[in-house]
Amino acid sequence: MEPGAPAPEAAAAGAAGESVPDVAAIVAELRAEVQRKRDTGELPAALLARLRTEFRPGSEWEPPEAVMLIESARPLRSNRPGVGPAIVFAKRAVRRLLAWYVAPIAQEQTRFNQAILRELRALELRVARLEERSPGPTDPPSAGPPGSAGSPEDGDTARGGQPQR
Amino acid sequence: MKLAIVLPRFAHGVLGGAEREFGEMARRLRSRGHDVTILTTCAVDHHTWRNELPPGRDEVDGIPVLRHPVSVPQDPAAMARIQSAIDAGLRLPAAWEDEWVRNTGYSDALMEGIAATADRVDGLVFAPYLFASTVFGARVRPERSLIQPLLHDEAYARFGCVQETLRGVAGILWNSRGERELGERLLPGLPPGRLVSAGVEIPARPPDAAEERRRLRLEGVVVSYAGRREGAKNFPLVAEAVAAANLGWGRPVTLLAMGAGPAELPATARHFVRDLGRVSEARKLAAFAASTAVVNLSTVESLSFVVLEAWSVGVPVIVHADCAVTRHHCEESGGGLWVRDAAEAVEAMLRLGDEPELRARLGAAGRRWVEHSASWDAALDRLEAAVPDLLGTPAEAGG
Repeated sequence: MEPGAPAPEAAAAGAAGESVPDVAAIVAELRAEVQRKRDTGELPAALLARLRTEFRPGSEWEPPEAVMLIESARPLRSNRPGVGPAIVFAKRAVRRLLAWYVAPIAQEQTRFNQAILRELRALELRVARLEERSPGPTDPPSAGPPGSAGSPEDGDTARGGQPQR
Repeated sequence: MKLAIVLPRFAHGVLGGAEREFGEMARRLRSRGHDVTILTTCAVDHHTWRNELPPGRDEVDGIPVLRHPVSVPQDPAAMARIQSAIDAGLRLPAAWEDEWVRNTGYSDALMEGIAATADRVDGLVFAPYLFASTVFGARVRPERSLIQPLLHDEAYARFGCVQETLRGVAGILWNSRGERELGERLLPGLPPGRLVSAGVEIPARPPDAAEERRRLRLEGVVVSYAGRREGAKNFPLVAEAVAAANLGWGRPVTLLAMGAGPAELPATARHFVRDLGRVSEARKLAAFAASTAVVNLSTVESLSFVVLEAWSVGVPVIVHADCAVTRHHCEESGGGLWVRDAAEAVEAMLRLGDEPELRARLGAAGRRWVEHSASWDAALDRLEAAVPDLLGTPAEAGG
């Protein structure tokens, strides 16, 4: 049968009482096939990586260092035909006029980002050293009783929010 | 049974899944002799919540509607501030969560309307969970209120005010087993719930798949997507998989994309995507029938009409492994496969394309499941039983 052949006929062919197809087994086969291709290099890994970046920019977590620096001067452009250059000129003038006000705020924010990241990386190192010293169960400790910070049951959006999707 | 359904918006041209589901439910309940009214706001656009329709009595497709003006106009600056904190995964202060919800069409008049209606009906049904009409409306008379949350695994479901409302009502009406499991995991301590769901119609005359393939000049493996063509629904992943099949596997696969607004995609995908735009229900079902599979890789679904509609015409689906609801549908029915990434999606598309017998078997299993578990008759029977069961009221038709 053609892939697009009238499916209801197929449905009719599947008489009532027919068993439910073992879709979990089919999914397992698909995964095994993908893994096999990955292991043997048959999977177009470079293409898949390129497509992922192209179709879903930002789908991979960027390290925070990549967005640490706040620049007060944004690229200026206008898509309006004809008046575009005039608009860009006006924007440039406004940028210059406001630079005394905006630039220090951006610098201050960048300094803050750097300080936070320095502390974060120092903490990361300390945690890694502690884990090396006391190898134990690899699972993280439980979230604690309801009401404690970070418990997914207590209205915490920090860990259970959109990034978990 | 006398029922008031409370929705944030309800009007012609409002095409959200919730509005569609509850409009259909209200219409069908009325045809069974029940007295159903929809209480809602005067807003149409969920970005602005502007009062666009006159307050008072209205009728939409034969359903009586009572409109109330929104009294908290949306504050875009506040919403942007709160939304950026949500997107960054930060823990919000309770006042911010409250403010976010109040900015989704809060109406004092609707609260008064709910209070005035509560004793005149057998029950109040609120949906979906994250809007002011539900979060604050269901607190007016919680003992007379049921919520059909249409829950997603997202930050809003963890808002303190949302949880307080959901825990305080008389009962929860679930749309699917997957949604109930998600709810019980995210929100322990919920009141009793019943699985109600919604339904789809099995077409009396099956679409002519061969004719549709001829009309659209389709060849080989074709997959369909219907719905919002945006990142939140994981549409780019569907297009990415189709591009990968063509460019990396060297197999021609065409994506039929249906939905409002342009499908904005990288140039790489344009050769393989046929953008059909907004189509009629009949055209959509015909396109589904002409497809090897219908693909919905969204991870935030509480039911997924698209999956049910694909099965109603006997076509298998490919869903995302991380979506508890659609994956559960597939596990239970045997009507679809679940994938984790583009590579697995390609393999699933090609497998169904290469093995028509397998495709037919899965499609038939999905169709049997819809007939048995997701017909409107079955959904309304369950609702008629659930309302008196959870609220302790009689369920006679025409009450």
